[in-house]
Amino acid sequence: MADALSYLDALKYILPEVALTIGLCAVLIWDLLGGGADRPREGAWLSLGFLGLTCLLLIQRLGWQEATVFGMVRVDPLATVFKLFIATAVGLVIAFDLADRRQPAEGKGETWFLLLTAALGGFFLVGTGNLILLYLGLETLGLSSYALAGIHKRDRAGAEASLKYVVYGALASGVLLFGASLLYGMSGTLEMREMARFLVFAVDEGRSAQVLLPTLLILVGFGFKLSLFPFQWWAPDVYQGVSTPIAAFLAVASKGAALAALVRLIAVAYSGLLRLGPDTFLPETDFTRGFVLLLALMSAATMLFGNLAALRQENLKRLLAYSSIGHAGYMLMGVAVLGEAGFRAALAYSFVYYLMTLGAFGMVLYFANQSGSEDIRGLHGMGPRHPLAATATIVFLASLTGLPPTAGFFGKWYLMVAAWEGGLPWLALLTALMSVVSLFYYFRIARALFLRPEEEATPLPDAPRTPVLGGILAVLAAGTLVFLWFEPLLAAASVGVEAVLHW
Amino acid sequence: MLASLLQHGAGTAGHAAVAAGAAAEAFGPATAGWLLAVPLLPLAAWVVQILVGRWLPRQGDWLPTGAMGAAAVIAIWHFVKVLALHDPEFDLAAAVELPRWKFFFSDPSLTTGLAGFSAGILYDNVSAALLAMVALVSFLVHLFSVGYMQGDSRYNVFFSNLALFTFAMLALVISDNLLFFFVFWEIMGLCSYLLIGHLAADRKEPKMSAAWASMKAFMTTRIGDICLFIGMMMMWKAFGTLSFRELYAAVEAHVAGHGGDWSPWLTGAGIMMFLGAVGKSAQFPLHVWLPDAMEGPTPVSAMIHAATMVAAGVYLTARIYLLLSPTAQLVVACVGGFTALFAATIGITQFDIKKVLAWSTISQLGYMICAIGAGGVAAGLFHMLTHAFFKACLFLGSGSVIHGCHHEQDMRKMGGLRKKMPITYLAMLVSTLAISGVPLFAGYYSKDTIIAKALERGLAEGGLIWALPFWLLVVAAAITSFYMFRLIFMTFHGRPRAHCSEHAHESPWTMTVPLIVLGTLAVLGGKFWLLDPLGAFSAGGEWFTELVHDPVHFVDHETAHHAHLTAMGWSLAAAGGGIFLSCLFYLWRRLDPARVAAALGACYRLVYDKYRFDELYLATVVRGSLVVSHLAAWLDRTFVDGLVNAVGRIMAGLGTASAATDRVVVDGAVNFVGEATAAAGQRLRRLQTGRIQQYAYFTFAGAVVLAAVVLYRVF
Amino acid sequence: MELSAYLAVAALLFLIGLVMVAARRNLIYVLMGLELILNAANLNLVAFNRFRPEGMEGHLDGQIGAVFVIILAAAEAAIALAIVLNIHSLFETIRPDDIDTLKD
Repeated sequence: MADALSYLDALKYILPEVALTIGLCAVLIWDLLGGGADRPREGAWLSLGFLGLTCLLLIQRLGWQEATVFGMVRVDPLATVFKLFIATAVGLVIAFDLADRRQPAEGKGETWFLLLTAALGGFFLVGTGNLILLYLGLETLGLSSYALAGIHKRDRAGAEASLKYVVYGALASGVLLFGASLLYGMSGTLEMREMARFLVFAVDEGRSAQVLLPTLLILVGFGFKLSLFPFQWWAPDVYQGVSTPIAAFLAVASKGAALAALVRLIAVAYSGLLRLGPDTFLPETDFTRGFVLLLALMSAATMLFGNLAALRQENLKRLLAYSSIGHAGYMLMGVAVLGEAGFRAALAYSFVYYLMTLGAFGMVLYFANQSGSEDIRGLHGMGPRHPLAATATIVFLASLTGLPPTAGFFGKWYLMVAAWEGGLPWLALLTALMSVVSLFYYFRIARALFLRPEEEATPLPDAPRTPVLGGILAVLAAGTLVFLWFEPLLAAASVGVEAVLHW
Repeated sequence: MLASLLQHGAGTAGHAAVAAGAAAEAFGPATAGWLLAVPLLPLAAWVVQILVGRWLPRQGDWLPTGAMGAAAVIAIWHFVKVLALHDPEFDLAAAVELPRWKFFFSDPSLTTGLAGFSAGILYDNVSAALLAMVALVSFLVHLFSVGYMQGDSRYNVFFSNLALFTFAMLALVISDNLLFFFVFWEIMGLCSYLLIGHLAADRKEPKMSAAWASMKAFMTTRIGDICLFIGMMMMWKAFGTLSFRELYAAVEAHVAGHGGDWSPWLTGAGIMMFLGAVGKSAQFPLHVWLPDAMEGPTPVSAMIHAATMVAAGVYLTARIYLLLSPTAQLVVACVGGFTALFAATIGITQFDIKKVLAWSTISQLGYMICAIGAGGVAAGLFHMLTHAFFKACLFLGSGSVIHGCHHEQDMRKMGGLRKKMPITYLAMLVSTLAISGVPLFAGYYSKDTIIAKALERGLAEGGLIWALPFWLLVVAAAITSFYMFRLIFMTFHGRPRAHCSEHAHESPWTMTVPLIVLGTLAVLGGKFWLLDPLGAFSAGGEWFTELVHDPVHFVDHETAHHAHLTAMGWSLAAAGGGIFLSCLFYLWRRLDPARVAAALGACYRLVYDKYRFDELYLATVVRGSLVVSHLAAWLDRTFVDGLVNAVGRIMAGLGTASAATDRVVVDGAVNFVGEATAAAGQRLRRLQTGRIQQYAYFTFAGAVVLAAVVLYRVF
Repeated sequence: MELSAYLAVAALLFLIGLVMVAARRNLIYVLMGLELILNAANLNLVAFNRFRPEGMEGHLDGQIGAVFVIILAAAEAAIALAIVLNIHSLFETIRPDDIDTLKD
């Protein structure tokens, strides 16, 4: 049916990408004309405008028939939902960046431009069934992120972070490409859907290990983006070094896109080797058992590493980096089930993760604006003085810990049920255990906010009120708290998973 | 509700129809709205208070207090209607159409997880009584706090937290399923954390011990919560529902399907869920947090001990009673009985007035838990209600004493306060009589029933182990009356022993009014024998046990009657003996407690140090985790260092090779061998993270290990 | 020539690239190692495309993919070099081990 699309029809399908591309060109030109230095706010509005337009177009396409455009770009619910995920996250990151008073004013235009390019890369990453386009999307996202990390030329921490990010990232994506080239060699195609047949054939012939090797290499690339053990080492250093909005971008938009792409890759290219739902087991192969074990071990190690290493952190962004590593472990647990319920739970959790992690980074930004410090000490006694933001923070923390009634609890519950029924009860129990561990470090933040007397506060000379940020925080907190929301989130995840499983 | 469920099948259709008709007449269609308003009022108050409380007149204290007052009026009004119905099988759901809320996953295609989960209101005799009690006591505590917390630097924050705390408890009481129960249960845990630690953030003099106490409370109860959660997961996995009613039916069918045998995993799931209550209700061995929770302001203690936290645990045990196998019931009864005695002995040795009350709460909770385990669900809940009245009264009374004595808590420095604080004295005396089980006071009726139930079960089951709870409870009863009168005598009788008690004064009306109300309830709470001379609400017995019936009766009427008489004899003797001894020691001073303590020596020290459980946990749990962390550090030093060194060596070799390649390929003139080897040597000497290439080694090592494990396990 | 010869060269290039990234004391060489990895993958793509089974010779997807990768590699090198330049001006070194201010 892809061939049946006329050129104009095909263009209609990728109109959001087109709009985004026009937008980033506009921002670039506006910046070159000198707008970036003089009026950074207008550039932000321009970017937000184009992002809004893109979102509108995406929402319009939610109900459309699935289609493959130009033989490479796949437009289906999974892609569209995650494009919305990325676009809204980037929008919020732009708002955060505007509200960040601790960054120099220069380079704003480039920041907006690079954020939009990254979003475009993410769009192609989540919306393709072709390995080369997937690599292109991954690299477009990656290259923009490397540049974003080092955007401030005189910032030593930022420069170091960008170096670590670029070396580690380029290494990981190179390894992924090498793995993809091996898969290409085995199957003779770069299309995930056609690849599936050859992979089943290879496994049936007893060449499971041969399939597992390129799979492992590809997982290196995804493991880097998702910060999974043992590919997570860069994350704490980089999150700490870059500015808070960019850290939020790396933690949320970049991770969400990588998760969606991973789910698509596994659900499509390995579709003959999956376990479809609790009752409909395909004949289980050596490969499937090995793959499940590999993912489950990675998930367990990621959770353990993230949660244990977070325990003694003093820097909030570093702490959140370890926490986001831990959450990547939770999400991978859903993927490790290699079945519909697991994929659905993982994607649903990624939406929850979006809300609470953006909220948590927003919290860091808000309080850093007030106190000038990104350490836990900077939060002492802030609670009573900023009741709205502090209450929102408590909600985010409760959600990150997985305490009811926050969305985090239900997301985790879903993951645990999926893992338990998918034959990984030990992983579910480990998750429960880790949520107790995480309590210790998350509630150090709560304690600093509410149960510590104020420091001899040295507020910034003109500690600016940041009403925009306060508003965003409150909205995200409400989103995290109102778990009644969960149904639409789950439905979105479910539709997306079905679309790729039945492609 | 428990009763109604079991007897639902037995009751004739005609009776049920009549009862439902009467209930439908009493409760209009708006009932659900009224009931929802009870928890929602404090919630709304919390929202307003947390956002703008600071800028309201009087820092907004009137807002949560007023909301609670309204909620209490609504709850009591509905409770009176329930009382007037006289229907032991009353369940609002049978009488009027109640709203249900579908959650999450109404789409049937999403079949795993919580698909089709729906929640509603559970309002039967038990929830009605509990809702009224919680709302009333919480309102009184709010009122008391207006006086007590005056001048606190975070006055507005305190009230907002208190309102949220109350909301969670009220909502928990009317939840009809375990999931929502758990949700509110956790909110309560969070609030207790904030409230116990309230003084830690005081602007003027932060109290660091409060921060530790709040952490301890939160963590200890979390251990129980995780167990409860696992128990819930097991139930969900087995029966696909978390609604109380559906779970009862499912478990009953499951047991019937297995020829009346309880599967071991059901016992396990029951005990897991009960462990949740062990944490929240401070039962042995998770009791350690409750005495430390005294670091919170006194109204918070009253709230935790009477109306919220600990009551939630007992309520949970009652609600899951029908899911407990006989073995699990035995565990529950023994844990309860042991806690009752164990905590009572500690109560004798304490000198801090609030600590004595804390240990007495743990002991009384043991009674309730023991009663439920023994099958006396109604008795346990009844004692929870009466206990809420007299314990809240005792706590607020102690708060009044502490307030009057300028924040002195040591009973050795008090004495002779009877004259200076007559209202407080009377209220506390009445409550002490109630907790000791003196006839005509509220506690007598409930405690007596509990001991009778324990005896009944012992007789029904036979054997030594089932006889244990009864004797544990009787001994604990004697000790209870001893240490409670010790408190009264040391505080209010004799001569003032220190400066602070000489200048004590009675508290303002916002503090004495709650005392009077609660004191009255401590007298009348068991039987409305003054309020209800004509028997409009009760047929002459205890109103609660008439309203709520036990789901299972283990002995026939005759035996029960005898057991009751025997138990009454024992409990009266125990109470009398305890009071008499207390008079000997502390009122008439014929015996010197110090000499007895000296004679007991090491034994006394052990009890005085609370059996050194804190030290034990410090030595095992805390030290244990320290050992683990040392072990981890050791592993890190030897294993990780070794790994890095090994990797370094390999890399040095590879570096040499790579450099050799370079010389050929890149035609370099520099001697790279030296550079690479020197760098590797450098790395051998200093191990430091933050270096990108070390990260790369770790990554390789990790990936290789992962791949090796997978290949080894699978192929 | 046999396909296996190409694959062996590609695998060797890949390994050399990995070792250079991990072991060289100079960031420029680290970047070169990254390029080697990409080129190893490219070699694979092109070789597999050239030696694909009977009946599928018409497709050139692997070779076209390789062209894309070359372009991306150039972009990546540009960004990475810019970052290294910035590092050099701020830290006055391009030894990877000297750049370790962000750590636990």
